[in-house]
Amino acid sequence: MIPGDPTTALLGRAFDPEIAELMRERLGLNGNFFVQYFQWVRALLSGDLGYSLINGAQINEQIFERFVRTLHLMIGGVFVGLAIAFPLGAISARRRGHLDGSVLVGINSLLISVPQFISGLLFVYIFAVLLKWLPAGGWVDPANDLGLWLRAMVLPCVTLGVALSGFTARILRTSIVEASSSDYVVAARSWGLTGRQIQRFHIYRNAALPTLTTIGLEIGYLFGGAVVVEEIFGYPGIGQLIVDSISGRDYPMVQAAVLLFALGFTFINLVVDISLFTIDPRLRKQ
Amino acid sequence: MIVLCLFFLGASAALFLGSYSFDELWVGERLATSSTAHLFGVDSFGRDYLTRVALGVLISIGVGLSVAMISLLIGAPVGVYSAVRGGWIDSSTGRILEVFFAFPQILLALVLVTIVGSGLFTALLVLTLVYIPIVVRFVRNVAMIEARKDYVLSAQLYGCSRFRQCFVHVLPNLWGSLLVLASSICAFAMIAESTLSYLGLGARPPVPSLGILLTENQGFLSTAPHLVLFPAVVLFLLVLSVNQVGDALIDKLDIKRHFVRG
Repeated sequence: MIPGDPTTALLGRAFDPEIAELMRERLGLNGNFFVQYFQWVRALLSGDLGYSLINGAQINEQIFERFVRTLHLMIGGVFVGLAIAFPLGAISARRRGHLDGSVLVGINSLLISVPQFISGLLFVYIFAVLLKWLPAGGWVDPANDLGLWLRAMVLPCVTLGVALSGFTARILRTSIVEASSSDYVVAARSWGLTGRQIQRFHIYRNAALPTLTTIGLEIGYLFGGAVVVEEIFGYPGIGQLIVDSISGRDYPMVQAAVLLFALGFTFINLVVDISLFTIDPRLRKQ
Repeated sequence: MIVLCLFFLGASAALFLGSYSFDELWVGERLATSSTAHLFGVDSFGRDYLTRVALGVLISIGVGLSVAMISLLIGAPVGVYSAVRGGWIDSSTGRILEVFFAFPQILLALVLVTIVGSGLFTALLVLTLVYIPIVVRFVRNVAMIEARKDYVLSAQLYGCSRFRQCFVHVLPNLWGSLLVLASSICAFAMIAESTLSYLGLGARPPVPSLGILLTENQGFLSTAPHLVLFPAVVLFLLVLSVNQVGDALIDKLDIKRHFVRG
C-alpha cells in the first residue's frame, strides 16, 4: 500500500535485507497496523509522541519549540490580515456604487485570487531583491538579535496576512451590505437615530457575527498557509517540519505535527463558538 | 471568460506552433531574457521558457477542470441523496464529513500525499478526494432548501420514488449553484496543485507544472527574475479569471452567494 519505507529512506538504495529487518524491528515498524496504532495512542495519552525515525530525537522537544515559532508567525499574520481586512471590507461596503468602492472590491478580488507562494515570492522580489530593505527570510534567535528577528518576520507575516485578509474582507463587506438593507435598520432610521448610531449599534454588531466565524475559519486555514510561507522563507517552524518529514518518510513526526495542527484548528473553532455566545444574546437564550 | 479562453488558446498555440519541445536544450543561451526567438527567455538548463509556461498553463487548467468535474460527479449525488433521504443516512454522512473538516484542506492534501506518494496524477487524485467532502456538504445544504419546496413534496405525494425525486426534480434545479461551486473548486484546485508541486510533493520535475517552475527558478530571483515572474503572474491571472467567471455566473443566474473555502 504505502510506497517507500522509512528503512529504505534511511539506508539508501543498496542495503542488506537483514539489516533492514533489524532496523524495522528496532523502530517498531513490524507488527499489525492496529497494534502499531494502539501503541501510538497509548504513548500519546501519557504525553509521549515517540521518536523521529530520521534522527532518533524525541519528537516532543523538537516539535514544541517549532510550534511556538509558528505561533509567532501566525499571530503576526492575524494582526496584519485584520489590519487590511477591516478597513477594506468596511469602506468598500460604505462606498458601494461609487468608483472608489468598486476599486476596493477589485483589490479584494485580487487578494482572494493570489496564491500564497506567489505573493510571498513577489514580496521577496520587491522588498529583498530590488529594494534590499528586508531580509529574504530565515530565522534568528530573538535572544541574540531582536531587531534582526523582527525584520526577518515582516515579510512572512505580511504574506500570511494577505492570505487571511481576502476572504475576511469579502465576508465583512457582504454582511455589512446585507445588514444595512435589513428591516431593523429601516426601523432604526424611522426612529430618527443618526447614521453613526445606526452604523455602530445596528449594522456593525450584526455584521460582526458572520465575520467572526470567518475569521476563526481563516485562522484555522493559516495553519495550512504556514506550511507554504515557512517553505518560501526558510522559516524553521512546524510547517517546514511537516514538509521535510513527508519527504523523509518520518511518519511519527508527520503524525505528531498534523495532530498538533488539527488540535489548534479545533481549539480556534471552539474559541469562535464561545465568543459568538458572548456577542450574540440570542444564542445565549437557547 | 474571454481571458480564460485566450489563456487556453494562447497556451495551446504556443505549444503547437512553437518550434521547441519543453525539454529541448539551448545551452548557449542559459538564463537569457526575452528575445524574438524565445519570447519568455530561456531557463537555467537552457529550455525555452514560453513552451514550459504554456504547458504549465494547460496542466493547471486540466487539473482544475478535472478535479472540479470528478469531485462534483461523485459528491453531488451523495449530497442530494443525503438531503432528500434525511434520517440516519444524512446524520451519519454529516459525522463522516466532520472528520475531514478538522483539518485545513491543504494539510489534508499533505497527509494524503504522505500515504499515496507524490506525482502529478496522484496530486490530482488527492485533490479530488479532498474536495469531495466540500462538495457533499455544499450540495447537501442547497439541496435541503430545494427539497422542502412544494413541487418536491407534490412529487412525493404522487408516489415518485426517492431516486426520481433526487435526480429528476432536485438536482436539475441546482445546476446554477453547481456551476458556481465548480468554478470555485477549479480555482482552489489550481492553487492547491501548484502549491503541492511548489512544496515538492506534487508533480515532479521535469514536468513543467507552474508550481515546479517556481521552485526550480526561485533561486535565480536576483539574477533572472523573469523566470519567477512569468509563471507567477500567469498562474495568478489564471486563478483570477476563473474566480471572475464564478462571480459573473452568480450575477447572471441570480444565485445567493455561498462562500466555499478550500
